[in-house]
Amino acid sequence: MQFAIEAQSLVKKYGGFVALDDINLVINRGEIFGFLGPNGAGKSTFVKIILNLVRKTSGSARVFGEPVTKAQARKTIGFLPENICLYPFLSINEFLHFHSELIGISKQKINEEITSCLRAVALEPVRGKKIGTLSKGMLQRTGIAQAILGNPELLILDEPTSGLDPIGFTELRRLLLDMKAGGTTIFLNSHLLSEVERTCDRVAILNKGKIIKIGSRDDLSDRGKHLEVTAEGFTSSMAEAINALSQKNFEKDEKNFRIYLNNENDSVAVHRIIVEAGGRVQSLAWKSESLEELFYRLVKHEDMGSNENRP
Amino acid sequence: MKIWALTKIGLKECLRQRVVYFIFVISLLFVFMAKGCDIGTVRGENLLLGKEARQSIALGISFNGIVFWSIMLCGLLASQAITREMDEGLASVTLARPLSRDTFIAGKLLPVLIISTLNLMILGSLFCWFFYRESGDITMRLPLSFLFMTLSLALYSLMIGCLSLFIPRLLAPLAGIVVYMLSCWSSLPYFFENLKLIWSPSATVERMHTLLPKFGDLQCIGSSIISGQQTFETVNPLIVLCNIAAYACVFWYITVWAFRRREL
Repeated sequence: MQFAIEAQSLVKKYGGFVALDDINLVINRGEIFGFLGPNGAGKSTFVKIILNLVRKTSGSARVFGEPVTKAQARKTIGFLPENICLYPFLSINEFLHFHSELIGISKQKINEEITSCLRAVALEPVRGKKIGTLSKGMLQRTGIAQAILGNPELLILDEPTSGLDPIGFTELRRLLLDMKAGGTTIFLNSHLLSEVERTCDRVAILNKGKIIKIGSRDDLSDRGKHLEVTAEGFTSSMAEAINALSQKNFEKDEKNFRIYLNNENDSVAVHRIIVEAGGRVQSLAWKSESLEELFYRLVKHEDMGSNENRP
Repeated sequence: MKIWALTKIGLKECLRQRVVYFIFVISLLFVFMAKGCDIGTVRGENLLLGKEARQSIALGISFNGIVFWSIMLCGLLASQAITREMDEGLASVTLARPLSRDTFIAGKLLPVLIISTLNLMILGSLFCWFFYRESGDITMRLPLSFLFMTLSLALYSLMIGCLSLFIPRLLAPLAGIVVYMLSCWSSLPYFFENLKLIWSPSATVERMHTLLPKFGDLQCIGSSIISGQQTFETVNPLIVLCNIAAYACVFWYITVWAFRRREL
């Protein structure tokens, strides 16, 4: 099976700085893939390698089986960069016309294609407006329209929600889901974790050039499933007994405890341990870790780990 | 089709720049200076020059003035054509399309050549018209000499496009004009009979004349054509054309090589 994106042992170095460190990543056709990471994690570098805007140091990267260095590989890609820059002296229509010609859309179909893209981003009534006079949100919509021109098989969006209002968010989400239903693979590079959580099928978290977590949205939230307990009168003997039931030591934040139990049925045992030792349980509930919490925990954990290793 | 799409955008971009109109106006002054195709009274060796000789001097001055300003315009536009797109992040959106970097360079430099050639042609035509009004005669020498100079513009745009990838883009036209001037200067002793009598080029000048792109020879040939003087006995135009073609290939390949290695 040909994957939409396939990266093997991908490395990118800028002098001594390693921007991408041995990245192995496969993105299946037709999925929405979320790529997360703090600033400087290497997300944009990865995207630029896929688009052949930046050269890899070693490893391989392919798009639908074609090496990324071939111009042909970009025939099926639509790309929206972060902080998009467009020719201010062109109208929206002229700009999209220019990109249609670059993609190779036939002359007869160009107008039809542009109209359909402009409708999708609600810019059709202002198609004659000069780009230099557009608001940030409209500029972003224009960028999205150029990215979806020609119905690409792979859509790469770098911070697509930047500058969009809540209505724009919703419309973009709907558009992405429609495109996914039409078979388009979507690679979403975003800081807006709640959006990624709602839209993506699979997510990878990148930090310091390495993928630290990858999995389906459900996978990642199941792994973070824990028992959240608010209790008073906690003692060290209770802690030992609870940790004996857990995958790892519980996390404590004032009166709140996060317990990662081996077995969901053990929640009753946790309640009993606290009460029998003279403690008072105020609340006890199962919770899943949100993507935001998972992201924060993993990145923070990585950063602390690297600080500890420093001489 | 892709090159033409890029060229159309490039033309619009060039025509937005004030420098185009500024240089056009300056060049226009040179044409109007030669409106009468006569520069007044000239004395040489106690000999009053005849009308034809004076006309020839006026033609030479105006022709070289127009060519010089077209070269300046070409340099200023070429220095920005590729690098400004890169600096402003426009190139990364365009190059994310199925477009080779060679096509991108060609599509960016072609509008520069078109605009500067257009500048040269408009001014050249105006110049021819004034000449016709004055002499009542139009000779093919005039358009031919201007046409010849488009080769110079093509090579110059390639050279500046190439230089702009290696040095700051504002310095590229400056460096280019130095090369152009050196080339013109080293060509002088090979073209002017009177100069040949008093100037024997040194080994350095000879070396420069051999090695530099032959912008100077092209311009001197253009001047010779316009003034009706044959200079082909001393300079073989075929060698000049081969030099221009070879340098054009060298600049093209270096530009493509350097741009392919650029990260956007």
